Amino acid sequence: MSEVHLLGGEMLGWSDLDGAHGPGPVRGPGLAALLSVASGRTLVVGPHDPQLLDALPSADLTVLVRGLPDAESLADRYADRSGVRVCCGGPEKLAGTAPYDTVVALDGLERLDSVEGTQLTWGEAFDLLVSVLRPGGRLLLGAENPLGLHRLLAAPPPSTDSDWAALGEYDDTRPAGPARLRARLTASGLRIGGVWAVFPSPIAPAALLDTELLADPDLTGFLQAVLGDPAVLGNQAVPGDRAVHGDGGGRTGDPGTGRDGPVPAAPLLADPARLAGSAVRNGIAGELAPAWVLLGERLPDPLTLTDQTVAARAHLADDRTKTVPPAALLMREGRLREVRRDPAGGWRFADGEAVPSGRTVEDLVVAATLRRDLPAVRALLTTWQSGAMAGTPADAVVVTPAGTWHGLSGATEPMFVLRRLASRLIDAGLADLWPAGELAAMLTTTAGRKPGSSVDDVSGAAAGGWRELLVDRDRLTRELSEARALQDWYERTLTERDDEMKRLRRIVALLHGTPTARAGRLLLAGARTARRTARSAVRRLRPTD
Amino acid sequence: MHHANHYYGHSHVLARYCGLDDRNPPRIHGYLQHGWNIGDGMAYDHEFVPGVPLFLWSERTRRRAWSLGRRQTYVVGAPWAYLLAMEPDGPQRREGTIWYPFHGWEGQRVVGDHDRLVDEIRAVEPGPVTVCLYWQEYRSTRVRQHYERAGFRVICHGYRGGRWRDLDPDFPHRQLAELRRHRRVASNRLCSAVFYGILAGCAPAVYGDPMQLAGEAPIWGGQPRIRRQWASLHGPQVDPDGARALAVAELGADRLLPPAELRRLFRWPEPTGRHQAPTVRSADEQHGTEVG
Repeated sequence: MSEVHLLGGEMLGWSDLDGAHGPGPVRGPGLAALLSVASGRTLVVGPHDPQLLDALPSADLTVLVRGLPDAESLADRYADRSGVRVCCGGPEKLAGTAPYDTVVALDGLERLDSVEGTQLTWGEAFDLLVSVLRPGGRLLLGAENPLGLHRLLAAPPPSTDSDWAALGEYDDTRPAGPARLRARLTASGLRIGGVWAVFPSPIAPAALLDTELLADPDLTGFLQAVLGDPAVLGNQAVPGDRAVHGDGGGRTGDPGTGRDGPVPAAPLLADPARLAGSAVRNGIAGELAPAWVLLGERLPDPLTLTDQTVAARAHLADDRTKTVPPAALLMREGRLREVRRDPAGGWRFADGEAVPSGRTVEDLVVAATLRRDLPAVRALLTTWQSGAMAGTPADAVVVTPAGTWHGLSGATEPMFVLRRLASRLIDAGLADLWPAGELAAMLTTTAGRKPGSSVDDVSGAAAGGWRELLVDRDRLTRELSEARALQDWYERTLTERDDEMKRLRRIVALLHGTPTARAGRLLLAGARTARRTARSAVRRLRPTD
Repeated sequence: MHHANHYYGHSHVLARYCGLDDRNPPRIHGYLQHGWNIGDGMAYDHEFVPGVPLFLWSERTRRRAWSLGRRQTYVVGAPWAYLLAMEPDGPQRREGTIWYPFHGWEGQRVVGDHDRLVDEIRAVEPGPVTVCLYWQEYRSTRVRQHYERAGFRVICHGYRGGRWRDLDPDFPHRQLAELRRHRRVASNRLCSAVFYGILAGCAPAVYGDPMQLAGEAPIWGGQPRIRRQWASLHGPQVDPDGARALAVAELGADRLLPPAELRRLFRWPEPTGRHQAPTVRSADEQHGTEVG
């Protein structure tokens, strides 16, 4: 095993990488792809998945962790790479070290301090990292959003062993929101090279979206489809959901920590995908992202600009023409896709395919439903269900202004996606715009398909958040009281009809048969009536016991 | 609650500070750290019931305890710091060195060469030396003679106390009186006594064979970690200002609670009026009265 450089303040029995004391290291192929911007002498601070470290140039790589077991396992992993130096201790020991071309802190600045050493505020830790960045060097910094979708819709997360003095959003040196983060970097002499909003969790993002791309109103449908993907914020409980869950890193997320995976164990206050869709529609998805990653480039100090730094800068600038970071990195159906800005306008996937502009079929159906424009709803549903996208969920099909249809996820059974649409309309509180209790069947019929069995047609809220459950409970309460009122009416009507039928049956019986038999039955009926009258008179006269 | 709360007269000191009867201190509802350590503040071999609060000396120890999974951890400062806050330093003359050879606890045995340690002490200390032994070693004529033959004065502060038995409320008072008679405090291992001495105005030193306990397993990094993390306190001569800052932090002398808060935390009763609250001074004021 190669040597661990002990800086002081090492935590002897502590590991951030094993996930036993917190959410584990920051990870995922999206972040690994972003590390292509790193070059030259590189410093990594905080817990990063070793697979991310593998993506970095190893000719001159320094990794700083606070837990000794982590440092030892990393030293072991990189024992055969002489350019990798593993350090252990508190970040304050970095002050005054030879500057770096790239500093990577994708986990943010909250998990750098050791219990033994100085407890740095966000601002102090940030200034420290900038101080070890060479002019022209790049800083890749993660920052969690305390108001992100992952926190906004969840119960407060339990404190971990790592939160011995966690200030969180009460740290007033911490810039709040992407605008202030940008301003803080700029004020520290950094030029902004990119800001990515990270979903669904700061630790294991499956989607990194440039905030400019995220704010492009033309991409509303595409962005809603991306954020509603099960790998990002989508919920598997919705029937006919699109794909198998992942956490961006190809491993199962820890269901116990909301910060870690897309499916937290505790019930959420509302379906985060629905809120994300609404945030995209309202242009504030960037502000509600669980975290951001910022790329800053340190500007050369004009007073100390020497030939050497000019040369170094030119050298790095050359490098960077090859490493312009992508505008979006998305895990789609188990593989990573990159999106870049098209110089001719718009956005393109790495394979050249244009990113579709426009809105989702679901959005269009909802808008037409709210307008009570049934012909438009029918036209949308029949076009969808008679075309190639019949098996693709309505929230993953984008209709461009030119009228072309683009499916953004894999296809499944048409009946599944119709039921999924019905459930999502119920989740959205739109059930009362349709006949009660049979929304899936109604949509199926309107789409020009033959409905399946009645059991299959029952739709309900499926997203599993408290908001959707309340909406569904209110709907079911209303439907139940309506069904009871209907039942009471049936009972009353039935009783009236039964009484009527009995009376008619008696008349029919009396009038049935020969004249002699009819006279006999009338006589017997009169005698029975007389006997009953006499018995009751005797009972009334007899004294009681 | 735990018998270790009464070790070294700690609960007695705090009862007096809180204006309560220090001959019969009330039960502390929690575990009180009773010695400096580099783990979670608790003795590793003591029974620990989850949910019972830990009353720790310093903020660093609290952070460490939290990271080790402890919750309900509160920094109160060391009882020693409360004692010093109540006992003003007089203008007595300080002379020589009080030397604390590393000791084991009940049932432990120290392995090391006392004669070699004596030579090292002689080589470093210019003035008279008082060697303070733990009660076990003090009772051993053989150990005592190593130091007596060298011309050192050999003392013992007393018995720290057993399981609610043989408690010795005067222990810390004797220790304070001895420390204030000396200009220097020294040991072969950084330990509570060295920090106590620094806070009581002695110049510290940590040097010499650190010795070993029979079968000693280093916990939380043991001696190598202590020597690295508190390197500035090691050596025959140590910067006194830096040492004092470290002692104030490790003993939580900057974190002492007012009596009312301490009573609330320990779930102690209000004083009845028979016992008067003591006069208290801050750590800085104590430092100012130091006599060189």
